[in-house]
Amino acid sequence: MDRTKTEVLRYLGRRRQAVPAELDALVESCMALMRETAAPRHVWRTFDVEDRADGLAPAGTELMLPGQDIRRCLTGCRRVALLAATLGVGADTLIRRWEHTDLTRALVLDACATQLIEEVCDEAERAVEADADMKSAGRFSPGYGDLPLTLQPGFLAVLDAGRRIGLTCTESLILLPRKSVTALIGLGGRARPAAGRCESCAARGVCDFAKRGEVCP
Amino acid sequence: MTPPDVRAWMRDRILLFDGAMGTMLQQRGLTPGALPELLNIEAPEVVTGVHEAYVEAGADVITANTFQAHELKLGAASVEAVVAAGVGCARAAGARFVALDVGPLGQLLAPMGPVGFERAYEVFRRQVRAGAAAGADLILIETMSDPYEAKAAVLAARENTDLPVFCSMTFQEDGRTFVGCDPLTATVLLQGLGVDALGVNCSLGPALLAPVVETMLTYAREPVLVQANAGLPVIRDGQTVYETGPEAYADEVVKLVRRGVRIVGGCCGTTPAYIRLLRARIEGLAPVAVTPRRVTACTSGTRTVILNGATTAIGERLNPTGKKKMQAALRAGDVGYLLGEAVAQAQAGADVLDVNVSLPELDEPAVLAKVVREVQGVTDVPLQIDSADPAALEAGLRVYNGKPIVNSVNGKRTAMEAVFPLVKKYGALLVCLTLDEEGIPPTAAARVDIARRLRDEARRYGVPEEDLLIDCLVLTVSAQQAQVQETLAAVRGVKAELGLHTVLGVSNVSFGLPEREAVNAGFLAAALGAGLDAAILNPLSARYREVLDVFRVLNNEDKGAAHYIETRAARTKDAPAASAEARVLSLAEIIAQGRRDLAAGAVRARLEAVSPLDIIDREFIPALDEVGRRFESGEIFLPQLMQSAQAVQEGFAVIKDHMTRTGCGRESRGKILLATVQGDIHDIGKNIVRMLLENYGYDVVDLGKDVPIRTVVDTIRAQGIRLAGLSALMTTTVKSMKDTIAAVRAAGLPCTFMVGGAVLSPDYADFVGADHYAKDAMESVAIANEYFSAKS
Ligand code: SF4
Repeated sequence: MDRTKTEVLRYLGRRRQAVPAELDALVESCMALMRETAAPRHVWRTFDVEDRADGLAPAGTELMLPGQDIRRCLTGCRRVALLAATLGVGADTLIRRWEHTDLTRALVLDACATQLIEEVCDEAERAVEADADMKSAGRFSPGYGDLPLTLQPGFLAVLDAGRRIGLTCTESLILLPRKSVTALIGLGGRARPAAGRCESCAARGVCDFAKRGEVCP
Repeated sequence: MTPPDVRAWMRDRILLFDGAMGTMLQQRGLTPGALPELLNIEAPEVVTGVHEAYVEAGADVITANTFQAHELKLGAASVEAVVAAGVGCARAAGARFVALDVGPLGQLLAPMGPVGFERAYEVFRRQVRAGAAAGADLILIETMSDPYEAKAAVLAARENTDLPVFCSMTFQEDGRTFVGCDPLTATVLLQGLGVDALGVNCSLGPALLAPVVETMLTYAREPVLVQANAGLPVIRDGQTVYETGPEAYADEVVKLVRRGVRIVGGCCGTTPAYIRLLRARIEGLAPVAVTPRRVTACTSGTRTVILNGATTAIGERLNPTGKKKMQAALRAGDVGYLLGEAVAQAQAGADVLDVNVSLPELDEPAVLAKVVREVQGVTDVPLQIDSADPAALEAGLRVYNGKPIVNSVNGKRTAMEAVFPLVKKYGALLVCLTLDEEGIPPTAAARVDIARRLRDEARRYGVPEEDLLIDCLVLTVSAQQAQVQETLAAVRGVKAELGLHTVLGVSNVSFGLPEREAVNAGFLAAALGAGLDAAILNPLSARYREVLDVFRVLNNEDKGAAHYIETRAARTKDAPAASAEARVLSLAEIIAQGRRDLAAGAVRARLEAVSPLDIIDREFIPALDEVGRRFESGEIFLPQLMQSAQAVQEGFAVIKDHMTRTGCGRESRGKILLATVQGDIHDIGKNIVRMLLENYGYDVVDLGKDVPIRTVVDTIRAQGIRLAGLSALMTTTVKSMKDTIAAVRAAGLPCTFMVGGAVLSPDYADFVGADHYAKDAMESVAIANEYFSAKS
């Protein structure tokens, strides 16, 4: 089974169960449909890392990155990229539509979208590395560990993400469109460890995988 | 001194706007992420300085620094003060015209986001009123992605000021806006709202925008505006840069002017150098006359249906007349049922959906507006807003996202006086019934006369004739047999003599005859042959679809019969296999395997031998319990559990139907309220819980998502609810869950709460004061079972 599909099934809660043929076909068709419908976009900027009295900050902005986790994540990093990515409202709308006629399909589409936005972020991260000619120390998002979600509005403002990729944030700090990610990417520090090496990873204990009790692929 | 009206001034000139403000302010040290509008007050000389550079470069219109000067962005700071200061800066720079700049709110509108249409309208209203009071000469609504948001802004501008309104939207490389609006839809929709100019700005350079602009020029009756970026933004060394220089920019913009663009300027990345060069290049260029294509078109927010040369199917099923289930759903406020009908019709190929909610005891304007909004959340098919009550029509038109069809007006003076102004104001196609104070004329010629009168009257109100759909009225063949040919003759007459589009509701014709579908299908074929453009019918009927599909081939619409062949091929493939399987699988197996395609048939067969209650208690529930057990033990995972639940759901529908018909009801096992708490707008998990609870025979009152605390309290009180389930997805909304439970307790209501959701844990459940924590959907069933069995 290809890796993308394995990922989607994992988001659907599959551990070791066999996948019946109909479900397998459903996943395949949803993956294709989500790819067709989503309009992935991302925007990023890089900054020098500035160590201010009350925390780290991307130099030249008013954004503060408080907490110990981001400090650990950016250890040794000279630069930090702010990345925002989204699949666009089309993905949300597609899921919402199916919720009214076929909830299973809606759920599978939702998982396909989750997989796809991760893929978009991976690609963006590689572009960031290439542009900076530095290795990424991994992605770290507001809401992970002690890095507060309250960063979101300022984070989006620095990137002008509303205008550039149509990404917004509600008063309760939910990113909209729903299938979106904001992340900080440390550059030029310790490179991201090989997959699954949680002991030495900056995102240890707070990454999305850890939240689900899993290890990244 | 009153300055000349910008519309008069540009009559024989190309109008030149200024370039970017943000780019210039950042060069002058504005921190990335800071609100540039605050500089209007904090450092007006800097803002005025930028404006002066553009005035000096030759811009006719200076765009005030008010893009985000609205209450959602400014918070406590006064909108009026910031807007007044912004307009003041532009004025102080010596602008010939000052445009109040109105950008998007930075929040998505419902149904995609949290901001309701009326709230958006209020925010824009405050901004435009402030702009008018400060002396702006026009309003530029720009960088819009969502046509619905653009509509709120345009309405706010037109209803609260007398200023000219220009509106431009932002398209991406795929030719669509972020929310999927295409340039044709934007043009038709904005034109319907009566803007003075429409166009495109931001996102791309002028060369990449050319195809979008071309579409607008093809259809727009108003001047078209282009304010492009200095090229597509690219990232170099971690920074965004725009790489099209002034020369290349001006070259491309002049090409667009030669195609007919009337208003130009610059967006991100452009500077006074660009505008100066543009000024030199457009000097001496006279506006190029364009002849827009006039089409009969309706839209949703993301899709346009053009009726010219395309036979159109309008779904009739969202209408309570003669439909018991629909009536019950409307009375109960169960929008879910209507949404299912809407999606089913759209999937069956309806091009437009008629929406009618008239039941005597309902508050029709409120219900119609609500249903229009909700239906638009689940389908991009344009709607036909159907009511005899002008107040309901206006309520529906106002909240509609797009240019709908209005159903209907007729030749009576009172009807025309009430409906034409609404259609003019909001922009809509209009169904015109060929009847008047004397009733329905018996002859075709007299109906054509009424159609002519309606057309002439529409013209007086400024409603163009291509926006009219003439309904020559179908009578019942069993009662008035000779009338059918009069109707068909009237259709031919309207087409030949007036050249207008026609529409008919076909289902009436067969009333009182057996096998109504056969009669309707025959009539539909005859009407299409007579030149009918749009038919109001039940799109779920395979028979009508067949007539339509065949006609579209014969009428040279379905090119190469591609659609016809594709749909037939799909049909012959899967049909026989299913029925063979149905015979060998037991109901329990069908549920275990999650075969929703077989469930309804199997339940129908069982109903011949077993009572509905026994099917639920002895077959559904044990089968579900077994599926639940396998889910708990990890033998199967969530999608499989859900497919089984959906199979039961299909079976349940058959049983409910049977019970309504036979009148043998069943006491509910208990009533449960479900809600996704305020601030949270993702509710797929809650919907799974709802389905499972219903499978187990519980009545679920589903309040949906982002539910205000008040609504939860009121519903629990009004409906005497004893068990409620709340879901929250974000750590930020767990607080709102806590507040909801506290409010119910404070109101002294004896309600038990179960909670769940991605971020929830037993700890959180304690924290919010809930009685139970459900780790997954199955567990909520277990909690409900325990609660209600302990009680009884
Ligand atoms: S799973 Fe382990 S290695 Fe992978 S991102 Fe999370 S902490 Fe890092």
